Amino acid sequence: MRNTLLEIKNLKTYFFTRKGVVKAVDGVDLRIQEGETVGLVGESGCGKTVTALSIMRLIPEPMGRIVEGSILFDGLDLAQATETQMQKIRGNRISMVFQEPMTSLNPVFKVGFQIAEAIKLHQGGSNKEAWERAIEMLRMVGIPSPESRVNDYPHQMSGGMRQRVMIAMALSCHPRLMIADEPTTALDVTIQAQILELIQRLKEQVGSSILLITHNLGVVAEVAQHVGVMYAGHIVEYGDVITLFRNPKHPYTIGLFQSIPQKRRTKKRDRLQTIPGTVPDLLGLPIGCKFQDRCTQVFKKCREEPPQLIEIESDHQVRCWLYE
Amino acid sequence: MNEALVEAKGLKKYYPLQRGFFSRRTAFVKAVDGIDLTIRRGEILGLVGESGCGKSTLGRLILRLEDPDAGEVQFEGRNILRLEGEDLRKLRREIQIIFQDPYSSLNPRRRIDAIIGEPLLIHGVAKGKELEERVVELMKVVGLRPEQRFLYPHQFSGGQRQRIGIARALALQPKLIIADEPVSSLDVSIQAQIVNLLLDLQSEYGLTYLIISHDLNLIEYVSDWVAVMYLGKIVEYAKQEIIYEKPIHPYSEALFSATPSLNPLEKSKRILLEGDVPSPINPPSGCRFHTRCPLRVPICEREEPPLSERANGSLVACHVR
Repeated sequence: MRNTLLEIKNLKTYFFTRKGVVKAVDGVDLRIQEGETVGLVGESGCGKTVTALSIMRLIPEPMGRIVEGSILFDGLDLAQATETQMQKIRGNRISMVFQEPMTSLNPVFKVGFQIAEAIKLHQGGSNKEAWERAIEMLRMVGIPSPESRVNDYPHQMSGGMRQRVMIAMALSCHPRLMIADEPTTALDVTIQAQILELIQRLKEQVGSSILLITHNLGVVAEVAQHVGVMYAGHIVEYGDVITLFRNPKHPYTIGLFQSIPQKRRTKKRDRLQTIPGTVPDLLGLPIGCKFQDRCTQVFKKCREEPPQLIEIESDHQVRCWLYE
Repeated sequence: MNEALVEAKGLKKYYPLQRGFFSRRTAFVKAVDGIDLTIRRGEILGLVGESGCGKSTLGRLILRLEDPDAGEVQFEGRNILRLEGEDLRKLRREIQIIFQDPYSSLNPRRRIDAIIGEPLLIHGVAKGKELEERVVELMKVVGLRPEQRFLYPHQFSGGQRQRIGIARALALQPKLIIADEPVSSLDVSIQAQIVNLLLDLQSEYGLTYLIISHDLNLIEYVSDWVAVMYLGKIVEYAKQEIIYEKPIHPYSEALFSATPSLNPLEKSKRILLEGDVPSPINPPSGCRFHTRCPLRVPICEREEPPLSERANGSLVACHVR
């Protein structure tokens, strides 16, 4: 068993809006070991991005707040850390790659400057050294002729290139953990394949752990060792990727797999399995299991008491009364 | 094999790029650059390709939302580009479109009954009491509750909005529906609901679909025929079961292999293409794919390969295979 790098316990991040309290993250437990990739999947509004922003302590306050729980990273509880402590961690020991490579780079600075800035801030050194490092990083992420590309502005690059720049920036300080929030969603499939390959290769080179947030189960299958499935603010199933993909247990996970078209329908009247209903409104969640209104196997207990995450086999946990 | 409902020949659409206020037009974006395509009655043609390859433009040309610069589109044997006035209005009833983004394709200031009923009103098919009955019926068909017709678009979720868009497209009982990325803005669990609805409607009303998507799993599931586009050209056109079994064109092969599999043990034997899609403003000479093709030979740079029939019945544009 490898060492634990990050351990999230009972994390609750709420947003206090005029309409009421939105429990975006409502009791997330997650462990990331050194050198592994953990996939976090779920549909829009399930709280995957808020979980990531909580780790980085980038929740917009005072509207949003971590109200409970701990995020242990290298012996420090990030949920309690001061802003000064966080500034030393962000971009240095934990870095983040965002979904939209167009909006997350500053359009008025050269990409080389933006990478060098992070290096200088966290590791010191002269401008020239940082610039050299920036070129080296661009080469590492596979940008052709990095010596001239380092002078480009973001708009001169394609989407795939910009995402490579983001990854170069994120890895420039050799972080222990890289959080990638939908890193390939805005990209075409052939470019997505390139970026996934790159993330895999760099993980081995730099030795970082990766938290990969995505709605695409195929991407998770491709790169992750563990996977957590989120629904309405917490994890409903967690496990080793091979076990979970072969033998999903939570009705929501099963439904997700069935609703993805795989092979051609053999008969004209074949249809996809669906999950009835829609993602619930986080303002008015039901008592008991949050999936109850869409679950085909719902019974009395589901409506009365929220289920806990329980271990059903080694390295496989489910939050469902069916397995109690 | 069913007869052709739509036949496009030599379609081209170039968009001029204005470079500065006084300069003359110097360059064109060659969005669609010489396309032949057949859509057969009662079948589903899936059109795949990466962003910027011209798939949406092709859809809009078939719908005659835009006029091509060259080529023709036959719909039931008539060249739709020649139609005018009343004939064109009649054609509009036969071909409808479902858009990708259900948020921007519905007018936020209009009630749902007005949105769904508008095509009926414009074409003078129904009014008054009869119009209301038709709207109620259409809403039931797409799985919306009739009492929801008094609401506005913002009161619906993405999936429900897409149902509204589908009801509107169905209102005039078209023969062909062009669905441009119909589910890509929806969550996975909602996508399946909409895909099923489209399939149900097809078998119930005998519709023909052109489904444009970059989601290769979806296209595999629904299509009878598949056309693969690259930079304004069709590079392969084949029966679904043939192309998914063994694509011939190196681009189709790479594209299909790049889709992540749901089986973590089956780490895919991906063919990684070098570089990005070139710009359609100055597409590469000869075969447009030659800059990224792992199989290129000297002729690919000089000569454009024609779409030609292969032993398995597929149409492929490649010198090497």
